[in-house]
Amino acid sequence: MSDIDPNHDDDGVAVQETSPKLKRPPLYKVVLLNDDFTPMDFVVEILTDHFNMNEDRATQVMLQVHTQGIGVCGIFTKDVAETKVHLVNEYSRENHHPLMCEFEEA
Amino acid sequence: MLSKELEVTLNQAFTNAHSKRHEFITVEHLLLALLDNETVKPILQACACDCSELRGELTQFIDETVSLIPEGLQRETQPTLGFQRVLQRAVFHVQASDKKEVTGANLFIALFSEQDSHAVYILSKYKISRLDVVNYLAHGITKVDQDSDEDNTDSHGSDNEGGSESTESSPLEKYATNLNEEARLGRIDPLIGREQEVAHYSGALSKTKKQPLVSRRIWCR
Repeated sequence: MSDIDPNHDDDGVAVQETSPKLKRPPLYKVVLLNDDFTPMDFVVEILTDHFNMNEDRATQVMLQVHTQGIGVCGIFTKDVAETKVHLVNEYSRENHHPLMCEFEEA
Repeated sequence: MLSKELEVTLNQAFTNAHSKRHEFITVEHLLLALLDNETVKPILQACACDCSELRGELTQFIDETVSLIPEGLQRETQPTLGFQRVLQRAVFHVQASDKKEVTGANLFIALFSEQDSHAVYILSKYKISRLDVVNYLAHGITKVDQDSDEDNTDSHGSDNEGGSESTESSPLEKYATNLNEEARLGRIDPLIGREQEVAHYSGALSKTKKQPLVSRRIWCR
């Protein structure tokens, strides 16, 4: 009795599966990771130049990276976040600093 | 390598983003510019897409999310990695299929492969999938069953607001005959000498939901 045909337990009503719901793509946050070699000034410079922060805000985020090991620079679409990360890492390497910038889902 | 019309489109996208001081030119910028591309327009028509609404939503999205080049700084608008990937994919595809020129349509298809892209999200919201596009380009299969291209452009031009309705009614028009329309055009012979029956039927029609049908039988004498 238990195995009723699943096609027949709907009283002959045709059921249509709902199409999968469209999900809005997530936004991503760009973060800087702490290290013991990159000077604080350089981090502040990156934050003001690439993330359009004023000096105070930049210092705040820099200190957050310094004390908590990680600091959020901003939230963007994946495309933009990826590009920012790429540009920042490239710029750090050019200046011989090991600063790491990454992006993760917000 | 790039076709003329595509160069114009890309140029347009760049100048547009640059004049608004956008820091990046994104995949969404690209899609917006492609809406005006001559090779992409017929695809959108084939997918029964309401261009003006799509354009509005894209523009709104870009304005909301874009980061601007700060005032007083002179910097170039840069293409994002996603933008570069789309271009690259299109070029590879064209090379692999032994064609000479990259067209706007190639870019449009390449755009669909971007992961987590809002441009693709908006397109799917308007029920345009990559399959619809390649189906149309490869075999001319459209989502609207309209017979000729002329029909297509005509209906698109005239109904900006009722676009989706007309596409839904088109199978009806295609497979059924609108007798009222036929009568209006004088293609149905007039009823002569059947006053009694007509009176009877109109009486029946006003009382029941049943629809009597007067089928013609030829009485000639």
